[in-house]
Amino acid sequence: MKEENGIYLFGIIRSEEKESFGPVTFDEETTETYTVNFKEAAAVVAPVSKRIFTPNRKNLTAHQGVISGMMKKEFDVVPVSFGNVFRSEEDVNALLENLHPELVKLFPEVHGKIEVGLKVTAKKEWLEELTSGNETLTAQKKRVDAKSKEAGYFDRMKLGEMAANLVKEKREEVEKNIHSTLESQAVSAKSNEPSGEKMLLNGAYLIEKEKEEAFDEAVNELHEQWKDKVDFHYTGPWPAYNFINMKLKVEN
Amino acid sequence: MAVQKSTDSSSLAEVIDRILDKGIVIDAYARVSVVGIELVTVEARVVIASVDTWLRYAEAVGLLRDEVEDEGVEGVEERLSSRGSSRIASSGGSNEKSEFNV
Repeated sequence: MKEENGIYLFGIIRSEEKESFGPVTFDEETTETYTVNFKEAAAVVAPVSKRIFTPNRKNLTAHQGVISGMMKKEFDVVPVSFGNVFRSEEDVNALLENLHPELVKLFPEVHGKIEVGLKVTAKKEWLEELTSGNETLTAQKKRVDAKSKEAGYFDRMKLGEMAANLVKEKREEVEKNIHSTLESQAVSAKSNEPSGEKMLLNGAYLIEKEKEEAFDEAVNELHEQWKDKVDFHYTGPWPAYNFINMKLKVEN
Repeated sequence: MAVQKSTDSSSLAEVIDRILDKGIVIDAYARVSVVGIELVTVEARVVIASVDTWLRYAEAVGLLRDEVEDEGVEGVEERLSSRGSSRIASSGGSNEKSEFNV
């Protein structure tokens, strides 16, 4: 079968110049990144053989590596999701031309800003402390323990519901304390759905690059207050992934 | 400072959170110009095993601990299932939706 050539798209930056972000390796195939330019928008691309890109660790890291390069060079970045391959440069150019009205609005919005992420997860010890101090929960737990697994099914479900409510309560507390504090220092903030039962906050914050240090300090102050109860997982700088929501599709 | 941020490879779960379904997301059937853009795109979704949610909470807070193990990054990788599709664009109009949440 003849292998066709394609153009992999990483993201779009504001630049009228030709740019490069070095080599990138997908599935052992190494190619050089370059840009397809249309007016002030430059699509960061790499020539690849046209195929389906598997989102495995190496490929995802490769995609993210190129995005990081754009961030390091301080471009205004509009990121594109993983795995998009075009047939030709003309098609990428057509995409840029089509998106141009949106891009000219987006570039100033992301200019001089970065996204950071904060996940707050409850410590096991703290949760155990909370449950053992809760009489209704401990009583229900005794009821479950007294029965066989089959006979205690509904009691187990009830116990689970109580546990879910306890976590919900703590999520609201963290939302009010940690998230609100950070939101007040950000240009924009988003609280995503927690990705695990113990996760209490899955926040994303768009901040001014100038205020990055102050924001880091605010995160550390909050950590100081909460460190006995929760763990912080603080990441960034990311391009504004959580604040650019553009779906391109065709309805048949 | 005690808490430092980074985007290194140790936070693959964070990368997955962002690059699979955020930013500009291009649908497999997308055509955005008369040129007739053909896209090869991968559709990837994080699939979470259908374990009863409430029981997972009970285990998470340490009340029941027989079924679900804590998941690390490897677990996240295992949960990734991918499907791919490629289409050849022919003709017709396009429909774009965009939103900027600031």
